[in-house]
Amino acid sequence: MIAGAKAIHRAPEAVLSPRLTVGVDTVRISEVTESLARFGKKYLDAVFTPHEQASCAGSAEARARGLAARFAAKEATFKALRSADLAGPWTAIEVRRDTGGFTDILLHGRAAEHARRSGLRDLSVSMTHDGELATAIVVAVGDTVSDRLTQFGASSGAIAPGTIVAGREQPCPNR
Amino acid sequence: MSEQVIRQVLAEHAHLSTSIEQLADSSDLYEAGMTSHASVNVMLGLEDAFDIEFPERLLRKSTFASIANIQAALAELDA
Repeated sequence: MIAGAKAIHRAPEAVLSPRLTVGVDTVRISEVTESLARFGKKYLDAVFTPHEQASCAGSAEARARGLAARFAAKEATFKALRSADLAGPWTAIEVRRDTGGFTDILLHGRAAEHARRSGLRDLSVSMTHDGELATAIVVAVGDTVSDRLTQFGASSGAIAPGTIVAGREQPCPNR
Repeated sequence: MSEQVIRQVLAEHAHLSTSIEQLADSSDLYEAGMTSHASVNVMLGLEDAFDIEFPERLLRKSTFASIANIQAALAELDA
């Protein structure tokens, strides 16, 4: 406390910061190249949404780099969501790229449901690649513990309103 | 029979750091070096080998965590 300043008394929940969780993952780009060669469209459709596939057009190398970074982003998102046993469908987590080239995470179906139950409201992603590796980090912002207790208490255990991740939710595409 | 096919799929796609012959049915495949990305290839390889499609409810890390777990999932699908 700063000398001379008056003590400010607040309720404990008023000074809690929003909850943050983080996930990170790395993928070998050569593994994506192998998967494309072995399974082709079946692999693409099982893991990547049409938007993600369209975002990764270009040379074979650029395509594999982009897809590897997106797979890393999906796994990083699972980690940020604190979902110990959730592994798919991978299309439930979508990396969206806007016209400016920036990326965002959009959740669908089971992943969106899990985020809502966990009180996680927003996600931010950053992806990179260097040499053989593609890496992504995802940060999730959620309600404080006291917020969640208040919301869950007020709704008798039902999922609290106003917790849709990124303000958007859509049915899961593909599988 | 199904165990042999599962082991063949794992040998081809799981990128294990341990020889598949040395793994017990209950061994943890993730601890044996299978990455999340490799588990996708394992899933697709199993779908090809057994002519099945894993439904969304089985797309969990635990489904592919061991040979025994994979056998249980295949039995659930009557594969």
